[in-house]
Amino acid sequence: MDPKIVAILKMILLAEPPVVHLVHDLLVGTGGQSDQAVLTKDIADWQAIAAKAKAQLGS
Amino acid sequence: MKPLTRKSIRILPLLFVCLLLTQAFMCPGTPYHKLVTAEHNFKGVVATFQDVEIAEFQSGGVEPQLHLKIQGGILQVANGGKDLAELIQANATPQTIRQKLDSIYALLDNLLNDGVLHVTNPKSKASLELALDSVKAIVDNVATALGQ
Repeated sequence: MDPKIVAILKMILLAEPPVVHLVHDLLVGTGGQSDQAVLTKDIADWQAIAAKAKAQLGS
Repeated sequence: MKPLTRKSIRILPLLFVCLLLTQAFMCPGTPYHKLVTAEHNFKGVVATFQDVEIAEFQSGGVEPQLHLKIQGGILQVANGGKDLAELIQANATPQTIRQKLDSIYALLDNLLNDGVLHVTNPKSKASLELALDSVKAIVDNVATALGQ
């Protein structure tokens, strides 16, 4: 294989772990956020679901 | 060193995308990350279940009394989900998280037996059962991510 391609592939492999994790998070729907940030947002979302249910109960 | 050919240059982005997607799909993540992802998905399917139920109620497929019962159940599940997220965030022990999961399983069973199964419109009932099955499957994923 062309040595330049090999060099570029090596560069990609070395730089990829953070990119791979970001793409993985995007694929699983956590948007590349840290676990703690996801949980903080989820707690707020759970409260929103509860508020929506309460609104239905009051309607 | 030979210069890169046009063909090689054209193939590089494709190689990069294939490599990235393959590795991203195979990315194992830490057990904690898996647990957070499972909890995140759980929240998503409960929100979807709630939206499906409201839509079925608004189209006349769910009786008003059952709608109240089901939304009351969703309220309890949402409180349980919030507790679960807080426990994971606080690095609670697997035993404590397992206890919370067990209580969520019980709430989902109540939601099915006291609410969804009493819906008389077959189409609405089928939609809600399907949505609730998704919620249960995701809770199973949370339990699996917990490693017990």
